[in-house]
Amino acid sequence: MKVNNVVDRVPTEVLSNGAVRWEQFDSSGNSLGYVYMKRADEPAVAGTPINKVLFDSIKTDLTNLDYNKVSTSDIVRGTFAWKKDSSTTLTLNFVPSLVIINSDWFESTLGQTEGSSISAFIMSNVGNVFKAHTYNSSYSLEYLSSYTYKEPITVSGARGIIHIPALEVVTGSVYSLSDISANYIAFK
Amino acid sequence: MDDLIYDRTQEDVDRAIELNDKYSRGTITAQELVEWDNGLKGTYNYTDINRIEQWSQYIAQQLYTYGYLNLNITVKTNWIMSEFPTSLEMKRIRDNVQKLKNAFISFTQVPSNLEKMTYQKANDLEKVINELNTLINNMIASFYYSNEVYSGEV
Repeated sequence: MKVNNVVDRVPTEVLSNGAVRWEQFDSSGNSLGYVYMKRADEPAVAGTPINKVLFDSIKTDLTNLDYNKVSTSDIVRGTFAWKKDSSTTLTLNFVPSLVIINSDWFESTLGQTEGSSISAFIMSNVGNVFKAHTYNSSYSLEYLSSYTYKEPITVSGARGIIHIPALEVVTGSVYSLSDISANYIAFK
Repeated sequence: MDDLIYDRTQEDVDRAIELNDKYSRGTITAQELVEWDNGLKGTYNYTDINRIEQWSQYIAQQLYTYGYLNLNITVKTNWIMSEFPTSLEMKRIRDNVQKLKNAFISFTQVPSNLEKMTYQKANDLEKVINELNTLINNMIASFYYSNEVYSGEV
């Protein structure tokens, strides 16, 4: 049953001390008269009344839920050293739905010659298979896809291990003379 | 807040008229003067208006606290003897009580207007507020609290 508008019961038979009237019956359904009852103890904790206020607040919370809004608890982000000569491992401890890796180095190196701005690798979870795409905000995928790394960037396992290969390309002309600082952000 | 008054009678009105006449003629006794000064139930004074305004504000707050509409009623709770409410202000006072009744429930009807105030109108106005207060308190008394009952028990 769907209740659109919660209202509280408003009794008329309540004593001045707050006792509410109840009717007693025997097992045959015959009335044994009325009794007035109220809680007799002083609670250590007043407690939350189960009433219109409570249900309305829940309704408001549910109504205001924004399913497009990502909670910060659903995001892990950090910085790592993308090494020139060896691979790097990042452990998320959860299976991400999306991982984005970017670095200023992409911008300065790739951008110097082509005027691009921000570049990033985006890996989306499609059936628990993470595919590393190259992405450039100013240029098409073809531009970055012209660089082929020796190994792919991958995410694997329940712990969300991100494998970052060495900064070494087998085609293209992007080279780094040293480790670079990169950022990652992973969404649950 | 002062207790609501909703038991004014024609006798109260007659008594007020009698004492008023005596005061005008200068025949009022010292004892009657004390009675007159203490506020007669058969008269309608700034103290009555302040009482209704204060109670209206309180009931509106109670309703809002317990999940009903935020009525945002306008009240003036500092009337003084030398002030006389205009018909518009009396209408506002009357409409405030009507809004409170509409937002909740009461058995007594709000007077349709407060023109030519009578003791019955004065009684009804405060009787509505008293019923609202009683019924809101009844409602609060019947709340169950978390962990007292389980689904399907009552």
